Amino acid sequence: MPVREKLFIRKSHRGNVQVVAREHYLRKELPCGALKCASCEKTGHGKAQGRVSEASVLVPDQEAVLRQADLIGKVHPALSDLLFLQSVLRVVRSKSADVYEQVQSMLTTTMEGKRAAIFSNENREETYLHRSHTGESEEYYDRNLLIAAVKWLNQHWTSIGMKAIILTDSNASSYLEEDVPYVTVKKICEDHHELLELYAEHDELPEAMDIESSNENRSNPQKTKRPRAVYPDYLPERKAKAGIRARRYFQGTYHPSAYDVTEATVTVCLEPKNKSKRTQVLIVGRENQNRSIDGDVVVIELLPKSEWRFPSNLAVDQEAADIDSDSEEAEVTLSGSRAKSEKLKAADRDPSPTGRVVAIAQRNWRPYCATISEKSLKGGETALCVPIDRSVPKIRVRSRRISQLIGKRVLIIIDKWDRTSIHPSGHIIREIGPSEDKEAETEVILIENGIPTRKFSDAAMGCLPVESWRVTEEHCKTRWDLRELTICSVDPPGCTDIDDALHFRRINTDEVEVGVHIADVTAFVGHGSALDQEASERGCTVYLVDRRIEMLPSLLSGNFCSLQGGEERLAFSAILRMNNNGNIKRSEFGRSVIKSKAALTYEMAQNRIDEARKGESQGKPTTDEVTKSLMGLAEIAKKLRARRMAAGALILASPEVKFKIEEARDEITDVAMYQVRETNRMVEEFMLLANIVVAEKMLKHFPQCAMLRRHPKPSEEMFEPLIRAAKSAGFDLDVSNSKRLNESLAEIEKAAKARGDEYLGTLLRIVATRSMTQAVYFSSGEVSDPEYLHYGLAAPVYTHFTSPIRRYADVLVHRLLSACLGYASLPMSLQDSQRMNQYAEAINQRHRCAQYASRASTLLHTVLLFKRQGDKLEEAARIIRILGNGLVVLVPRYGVEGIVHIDDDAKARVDETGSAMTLKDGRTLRVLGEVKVRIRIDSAPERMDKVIYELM
Amino acid sequence: MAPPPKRGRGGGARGLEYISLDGLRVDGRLHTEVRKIRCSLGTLSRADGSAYYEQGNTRVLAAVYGPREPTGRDFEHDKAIVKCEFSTAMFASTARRRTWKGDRKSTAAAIVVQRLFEGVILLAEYPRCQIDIYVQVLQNDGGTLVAAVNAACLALINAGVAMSDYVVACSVGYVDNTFVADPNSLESGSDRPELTLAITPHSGKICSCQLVSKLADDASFESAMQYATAGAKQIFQVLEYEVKKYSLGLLDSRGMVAL
Amino acid sequence: MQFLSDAECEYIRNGAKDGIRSDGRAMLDIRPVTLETTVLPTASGSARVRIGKVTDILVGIKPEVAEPSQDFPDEGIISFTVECSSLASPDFVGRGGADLSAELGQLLTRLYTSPVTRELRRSLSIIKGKKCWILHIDALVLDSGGNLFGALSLAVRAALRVVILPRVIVIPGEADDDDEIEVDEEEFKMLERSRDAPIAVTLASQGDRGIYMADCTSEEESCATASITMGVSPLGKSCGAVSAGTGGIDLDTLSSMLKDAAQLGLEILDATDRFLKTDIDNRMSGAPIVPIGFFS
Repeated sequence: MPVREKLFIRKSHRGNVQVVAREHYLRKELPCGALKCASCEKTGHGKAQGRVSEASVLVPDQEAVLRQADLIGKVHPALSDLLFLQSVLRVVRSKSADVYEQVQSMLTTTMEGKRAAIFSNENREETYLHRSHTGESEEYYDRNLLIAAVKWLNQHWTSIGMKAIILTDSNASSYLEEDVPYVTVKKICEDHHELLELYAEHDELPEAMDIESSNENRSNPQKTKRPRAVYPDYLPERKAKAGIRARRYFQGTYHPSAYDVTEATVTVCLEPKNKSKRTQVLIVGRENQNRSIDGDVVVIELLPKSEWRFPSNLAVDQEAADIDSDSEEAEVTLSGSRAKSEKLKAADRDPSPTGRVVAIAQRNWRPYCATISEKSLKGGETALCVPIDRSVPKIRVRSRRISQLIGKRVLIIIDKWDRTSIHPSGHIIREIGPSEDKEAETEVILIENGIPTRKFSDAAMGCLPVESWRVTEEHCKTRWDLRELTICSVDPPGCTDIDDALHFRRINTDEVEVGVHIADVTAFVGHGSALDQEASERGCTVYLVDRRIEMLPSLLSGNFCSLQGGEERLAFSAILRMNNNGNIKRSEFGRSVIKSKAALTYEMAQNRIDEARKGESQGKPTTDEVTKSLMGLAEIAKKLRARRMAAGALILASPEVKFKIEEARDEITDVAMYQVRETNRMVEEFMLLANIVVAEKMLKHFPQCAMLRRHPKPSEEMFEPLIRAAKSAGFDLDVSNSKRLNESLAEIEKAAKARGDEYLGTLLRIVATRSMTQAVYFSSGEVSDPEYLHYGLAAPVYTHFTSPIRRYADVLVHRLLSACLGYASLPMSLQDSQRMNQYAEAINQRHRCAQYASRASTLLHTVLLFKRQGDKLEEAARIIRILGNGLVVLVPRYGVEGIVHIDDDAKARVDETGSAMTLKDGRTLRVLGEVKVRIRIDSAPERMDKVIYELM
Repeated sequence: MAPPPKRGRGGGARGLEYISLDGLRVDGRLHTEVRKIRCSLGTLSRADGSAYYEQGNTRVLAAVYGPREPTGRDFEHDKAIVKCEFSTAMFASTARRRTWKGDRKSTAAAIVVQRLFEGVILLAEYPRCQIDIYVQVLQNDGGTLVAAVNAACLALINAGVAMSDYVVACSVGYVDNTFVADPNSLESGSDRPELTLAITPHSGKICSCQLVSKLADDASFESAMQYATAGAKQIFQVLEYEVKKYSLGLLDSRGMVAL
Repeated sequence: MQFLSDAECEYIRNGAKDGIRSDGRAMLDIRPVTLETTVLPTASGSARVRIGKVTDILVGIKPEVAEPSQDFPDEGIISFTVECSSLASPDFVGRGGADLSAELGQLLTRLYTSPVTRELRRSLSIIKGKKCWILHIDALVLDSGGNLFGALSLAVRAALRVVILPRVIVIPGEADDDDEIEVDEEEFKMLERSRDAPIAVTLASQGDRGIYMADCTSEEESCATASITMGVSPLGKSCGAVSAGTGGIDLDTLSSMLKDAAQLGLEILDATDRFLKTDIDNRMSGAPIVPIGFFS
């Protein structure tokens, strides 16, 4: 095998230069990709085994792949056979991981009517080109590689009657010069109009048009007048990089504010010496934001100190902020109201730095769900699309079917955003469905939150056991046989994925045994299997109001893993020996086989306990084993709970409500508060206990790579709004530690109830919960010991072990625990703390997405409910925050919250602490205070239905 | 409320793709293939035996002095002692780094080489003698220990030291969930497991097995060993061919055979 | 190093008197030199020189961006490290070769601080007083058989002739910012003025008036009574002459030696430059290098 030396320059970490030499082996018979080719190797060596077979094969160049990936991926007779060159894929991978992934899946899956193959041209002797290092640009070299490969292919394929044609989406002059066959994407689209809407516009004009326009220029000089630039130009990359090094510019990720889209923040490090200190820089206004979209990595320049200001406390959404070219007035009024709000700022704080975007380091555009705006349609084929995500600007799209798509949800990709165009332009990749349709809207929610809606892959399904799988004697021999124990499960009604079951047994008068049995998911999901891969990508089961998107296929989640009543199942058991006070004397963990005696609901279990208690008080001893077991558990749980409270665990609250669904019509008829029974708490207690003991065990064995869960202690600052809110309601809150916080919340609740305010306590708890950050998973090696703390539960270490069917973190914990117990060695990737932390971060991310999706689904259903209930909905609401131009209110009955806009005409003033607002009519509104609001639904087809709250 | 995390479209993939979709490694090899090996014997004039060995971009020179009288105070009455020094040239790696003779890594490698050859040299043939093996790494592109062992083996043969068998080494790396024979510097990172195996090819025995980081289980260890053994056999063929060629050349130069 | 008996010394000296050397060379003949460049792909420039299949030197150059010294703000820096590999001799094991290494490094440094190399050093400057290239020239003595210094200087020069540096673009800083430099990742350039680099010629006197020889073997070196080393650059100027040894040299012999050394140096320079032409051209175009290396 001949070897070549590849030389290139690399910059080392310290900014130094290194000449790097790498070997490059050239091979003789690498597959050329053609099915019929007799002279090359028959099978390739890698995952991509596809072959092309049509007479003419398209070889896309890098621009075509990068810009037109959606179009190229389309199953269409004009695009049936594609050959990807290794040199093209190398560039694609370095430029866009996502597009590369798209091509990868094209190459590794078989599709009807589409054939894609790979040709490793850079490692094939005949098509390799040596790169000189006398200033020849990379693009030039890559283009020559492509030309050389296509030339050779055409020669190689003459005998089998095949032809390779370059598919390009850029200037084709070099192909013309070199006399290699090529076709532009544009041309294919023109021949096949149905493909046109997938065509992504870009800056470079095709050559033919260039000539045309230059002719035109001569004859008609007026037409050459360039359109007016709306945005400033971006700095060239080199200049931006130099500026970052010189600390003249700063780099960070761009995030528009959730309440006010005219304002965005970029978190950057302004002090080189203090890397951990991050400053939020405000980017205000369209021009300063300079075509940035949420998630982009941008380069910013700070504005002079005189222009620094406070973050806005206005609520402005995209609609109000979106300035069409003819409505500049809107901006004036907007800045006018802002100027007023400026004056209201507290003087004791420093203003935030402001900046402007000077360059984009990396775009992070994703496919967006949007709706075509009917207003913007002025004949022709282009229209504006309104993305569902309010922080994303409207997108200009072009489609021949545009008039048919009005009022439908579509999936859009942004292709470019010119400085001469107010809006970015993009193309439609898919139609989702009519707006206001429950199915379509649910899909929108899933897409917007990045939740995979695809089915499990064949490979993942291939990992499942056969349907006739049963617990065998072999299982019983190698595991603890606990089939005889009185084990039962207690879950919400309708639960089919039963993760956990419990048992209780009295050993002697002083000691009892409690067993927590968790579904043994890892017995079915092997580390690194396709199923494991898929589950880890999903991260958790997502619960929506009317469906759930499962982490594991339903054969496992609803059957083999689920600890159903009366069925023999594999479990991971924690057997805890404790005294009557619930102090653990000994804990043991092991794989087991169990047979649950009963799968109860909370209500059923509660009724059994209540009846038994009644019976016992009348002297009738309980005989039913399950009930006896439940009673024992309930007793211990009470003690555990009392002890936990004493240690300072918080009682938190959420405004969530339960929907009453009428099954027949698949309609929500009403809402109700969640009812918390003793049995809910009982199960919770034992789950917490099991999680804690497992966390301790795991940490002892793997101090560096245990998957734990922590809840950081909130800072004083974070509690400030809560304290102020309580104060305005006339209460003092002690936040010095979690115990005091919990106690003072309880005191307030009691006092408020005495005043006849039933909800205030819950409301404060809701606000308190929001003041804190969320609990997160992490790897023990990445954080120092004291930070392991779970503040809300007042537990020094905590993990999730008890729901492996619906949370991937628990699956990892099961693997760690198996390794602790010596059942299996720990997979390599789980031994590395950093790797484990990456898992944790990914799971945190998935959990957040799942939470947003389920909230969005709740909102969707609430809106549907409101719509059915008509216009005249009036409800009591509580104020949770006061803004400069409105109130954030929570409607307890429906668990919804929203903004009540208050015009300047109605508002008199907002007091300095921002905890009260006086209206012109004399009314004073306070935080936590009650107001009556009218709720109505504002429907517009181009966006999701909006709930409008108005003050009465 | 934090904005929901999103799947971005922008941005290239991080890190290397160690195995391409077409199953090629970064340098174009298949996962079982070792790099190109070239070697020659009798490269240096003053040493009693010397060899130059290159495995891809990893290049080493080995020299053997002895068997000769012990230079120091230690010697054995009934057998020879083996000493080894391993040093790396300053320009050997991409980043210039000053490595002194006798730093920890070099000393460790020297000990491995020393122990290995103590096992195969017929030490009893040379009582009260010392055999010095010096290995100089000229270029390091991963697998210097492998190259050192193979070069030292050739240098000892060149020096005419009696040995029971060849010693051939090969390493196995682990990237993108696959084993790769003879990883280069890109493929062998500090965070990845790497197994370096030395065998005596005729008897098929394992003389040394160095494992950096760890492998998940016994099955993967076995499979790594298979890769390494297969790689070592590929290398052995080259070494044996080179030794035969060299010996024939010597015979020819003395008029003992006609080539 | 080598120690010879008196009889052996006598043999060499007597031969020298009659103009005969043990390997049959004339007094100013040099042994065959094998010169090869770009033997190390990971170095920016490299060369290997072997003299008479005995002395064997390998040189690698790695460039780095650094700050120039205060004294010479408009010059780059050339720094030398010489290492004697234990391959060359068991004497070099451990710290054994340290003294010789230091001496050789010192000699090279002296050779390259002379005024004839000023332009060469200037060509390494990037931004005056702020940024310059530092060339780390690392030499490895693989085998020693006399005339180490001559071989070393030849190898260093050959490596410098083929060294490639990334092209550097200076971005003028805005306002009060410093100028920034940006390394072009696609373009290499050869070192300007590398032709100026000197070589060293050593002539050793064998005690008697007017008797001296070039390119000594290690045996000849060990019985030389005095030697001069002279730097010769294509600019013709001698740079730095060093005398060493146990005996002295009289004035007539010295001036004759200096003349012959300069002459010999120019001849060697001429021959090597002619020889290196293809290497330099190949390096420029980035043509594949097939080193013969250790297989010759």
